[in-house]
Amino acid sequence: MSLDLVRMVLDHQLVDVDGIDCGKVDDLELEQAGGKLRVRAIVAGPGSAATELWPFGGWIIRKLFGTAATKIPWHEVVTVDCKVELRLHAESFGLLAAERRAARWISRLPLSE
Amino acid sequence: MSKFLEIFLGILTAMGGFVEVGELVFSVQAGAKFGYSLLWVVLLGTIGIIVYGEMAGRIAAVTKQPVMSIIRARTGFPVGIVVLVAANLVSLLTCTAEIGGMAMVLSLLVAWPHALLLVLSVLALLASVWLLSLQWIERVFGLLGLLLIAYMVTAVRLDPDWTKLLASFAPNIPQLGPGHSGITYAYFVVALASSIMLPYETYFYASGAIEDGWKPEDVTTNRMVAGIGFVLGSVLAVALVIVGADFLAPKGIDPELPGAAALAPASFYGQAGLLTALLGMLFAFAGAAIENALTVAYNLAQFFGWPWGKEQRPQQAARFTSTWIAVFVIAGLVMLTGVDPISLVEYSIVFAVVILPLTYLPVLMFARDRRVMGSHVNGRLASGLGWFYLAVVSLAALAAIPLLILSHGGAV
Amino acid sequence: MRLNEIAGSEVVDESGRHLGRLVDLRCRGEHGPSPMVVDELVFGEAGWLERLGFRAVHERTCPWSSVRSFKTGRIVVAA
Repeated sequence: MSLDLVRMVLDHQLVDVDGIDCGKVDDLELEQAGGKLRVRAIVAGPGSAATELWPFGGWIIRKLFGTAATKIPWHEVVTVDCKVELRLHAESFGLLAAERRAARWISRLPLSE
Repeated sequence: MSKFLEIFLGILTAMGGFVEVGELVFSVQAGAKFGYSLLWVVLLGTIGIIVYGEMAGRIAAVTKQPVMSIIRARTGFPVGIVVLVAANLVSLLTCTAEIGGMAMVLSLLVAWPHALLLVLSVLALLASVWLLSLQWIERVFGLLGLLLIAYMVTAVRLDPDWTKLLASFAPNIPQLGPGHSGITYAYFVVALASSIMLPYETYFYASGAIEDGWKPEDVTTNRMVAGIGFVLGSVLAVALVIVGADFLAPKGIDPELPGAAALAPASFYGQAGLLTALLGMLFAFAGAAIENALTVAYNLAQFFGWPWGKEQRPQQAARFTSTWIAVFVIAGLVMLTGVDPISLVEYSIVFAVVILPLTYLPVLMFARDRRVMGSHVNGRLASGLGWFYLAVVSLAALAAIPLLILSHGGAV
Repeated sequence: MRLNEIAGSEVVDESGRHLGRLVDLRCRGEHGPSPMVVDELVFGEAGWLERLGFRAVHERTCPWSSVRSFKTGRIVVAA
């Protein structure tokens, strides 16, 4: 079973051990060591996206979403199917911080149970 | 039996939820300006939205992936973000236009200040989406939108020339009177087609299918709902064309405002007819506003990989929820600046067709990919029609803005 | 080095002849606890028609062992 990094991993959905959506694979960190090329980590978070865009777009993204870019070591990946499944909860990787911030103000609205 | 009921409701919902302010305005105007001769465009557009709605629904049922997620996965971040921004700007514009339409209809029902009607509309929309589940939103607004049947009844009552009507479903170029130019006709062809094939319909339909938990076995249901629901919705559009052609034009009534169309049922059925027609429009516009706000939220969340879904508790999909709330608020604020809702409707329709190829192409690519769709991949018919419509909307996309300018917004 | 940086880099042979652009990196091993090792380069011409999906990219592959230099913008492989 071969895995094509661009076609099957990059820009695909990340889910944590509970099946909760926690972002996309924004980039992959590669390392060359011992004559081999390895995937070291998944990079997720707005900071990584900002570098891909033409300068102006990147600046807007940085202003709106911050520069946090989370790195998830590849050994935390359980499987790669339609989605990339991770071994632990999203919090363990520092993901979904923005989601939790949003949830705090949402919970202040009436009847948000 | 319950499955049958589900399908039945799905069809009714698609039908009632299909008409929105742009389609209403352009259908009535098309009839008033050009008689029945634009009916072939209604047919063309209906087949187009069925083709692409079915593909999007099938992709959702088989892959459980929504359109924006697929676009990002296949075309990458830089291309995907262009599609995301374009689609969301158009949906925001459309949502704003629907809210403007709601306020216009309300102003015919109660003599309250316009700003108040706008605020009430926004509050009602916020409350509806916050409190109701997706299924109930679709049912309430879809079924109440069916009050638009008043127009279908009126159209029959107007006793149109049925032979001439049927003939007009074949593509034709009419004898244009001195009052109207070919450019205006071409503009209406593009605008009417666009109002039927609006991009949000594809995004929303697919997201709804995933929220409803459609599985590959549901593909046949998908085909039926898409087919019948959209066809019935277009029958409403045909009725509006007839109202424009056989009621408003002979009486010399300017068809530009949504309220003008309601004069037809009013004239035959009095207060009851007027009220039914106005309430039908109100709920249809509200339903469309909701679908567009949710589409913006769906697209954003699905592109960036956030938790999403109306069926989740608001805190479980907090950024998704914040987004649709923000859309309603922004749309309301834009309308409060006093912008002309009819102009807004026009721009939303024109820009929608300009970005339509960007929406349709990834859907077609994915539906044709056997690696992903397995046995549910496009057959020759689906692919053939898919390519045909991609060509049609690409042509329309190129022509839309020049035609808008040259025809002075259809006024020439 | 990041995948987004290296994807699309020009692939040339040792005499500098243009072979294509880097389209993908293929890993043949088991994906699991062990680090994912890249076994093959996938390259070809990916013009607009290919990127939009009209034409399949004419893909060629070469094993990692034939790679002489792997830098952003330019990858050199043994013919």
